[in-house]
Amino acid sequence: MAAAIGKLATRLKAPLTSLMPAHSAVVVKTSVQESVCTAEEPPTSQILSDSVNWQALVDRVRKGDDSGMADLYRLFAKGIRFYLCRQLGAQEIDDKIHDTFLIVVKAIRRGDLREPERLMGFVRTVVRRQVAAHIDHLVHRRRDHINLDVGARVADDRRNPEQNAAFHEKTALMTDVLNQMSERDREVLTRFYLHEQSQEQICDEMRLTETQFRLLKSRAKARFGELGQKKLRKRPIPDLFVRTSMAAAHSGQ
Amino acid sequence: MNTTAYHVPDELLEQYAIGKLSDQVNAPLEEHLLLCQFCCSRLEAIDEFVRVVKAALAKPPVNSRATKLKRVLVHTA
Repeated sequence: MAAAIGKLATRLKAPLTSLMPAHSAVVVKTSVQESVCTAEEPPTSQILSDSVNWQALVDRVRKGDDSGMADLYRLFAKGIRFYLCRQLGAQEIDDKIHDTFLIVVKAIRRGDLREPERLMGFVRTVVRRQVAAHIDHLVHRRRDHINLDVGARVADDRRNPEQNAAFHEKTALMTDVLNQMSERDREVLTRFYLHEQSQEQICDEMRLTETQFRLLKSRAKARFGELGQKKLRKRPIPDLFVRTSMAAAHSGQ
Repeated sequence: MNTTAYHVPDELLEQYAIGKLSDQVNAPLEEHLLLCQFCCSRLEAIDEFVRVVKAALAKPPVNSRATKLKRVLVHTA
């Protein structure tokens, strides 16, 4: 963490780049205490809380306060990592996170963020632009590469062999679940997940109520979960691979 | 650090995962995700579920009679 902040501080000495201010309003309620219940209403209806003092945070970053930078990093690093990872994969993720922070901090220092309470929207805009720029770069690179080497295959780096095996196992479980369903139920799921039809369209065309639609989906998820649990019980992990507290103590961890 | 008191409902996260939300809803949701680890981990699970369902649905359905017969044979064995 300290190293990351240090790296960020060093890179801030580089020439500034221009950046537009955030466009969207911040509407997520925040609080230090986490509640585990889910809100029934969409986040658009949630109101900005005063538990994170955005004005003070932005002021500290603007003044070059290290603790302000650290708080900014602590607040957003995991979320930015998740967003970038989800969109682009884990490759060079740390560099991308640092680039994002660099742009955000420079923009704050330059005074581009006129409304500090819109910091979240501002960060989101920066992250989205990073993603778009990266994709654009990949498209250009791939085009140039293809010109040179026609027929070359690009490896899918999203999953390692272990993750692939787990994915295939889950898919097999889901196939079992689907095969036990009626044709009509399967059609509902096919329309929703595969053909990406809207819930309204499916309910309308298949004469389903919203509740029936939701029940069908949740039943499929529950059955998938049950089968997964059953499979785990059938194939317990061999003792050899179970890390005991004794072994952990022996290895000094 | 988790600083959010409210969390996105599963239904909405699923629609986000499938890419069915308008930018009007996407924007506040993504801003929430930037701060909320709890919703990020739920979205991760939903993403995986959607990938698995899509892969399974892409396979042609097995003849239901054959499946039933197979199940009967497994139970009687």
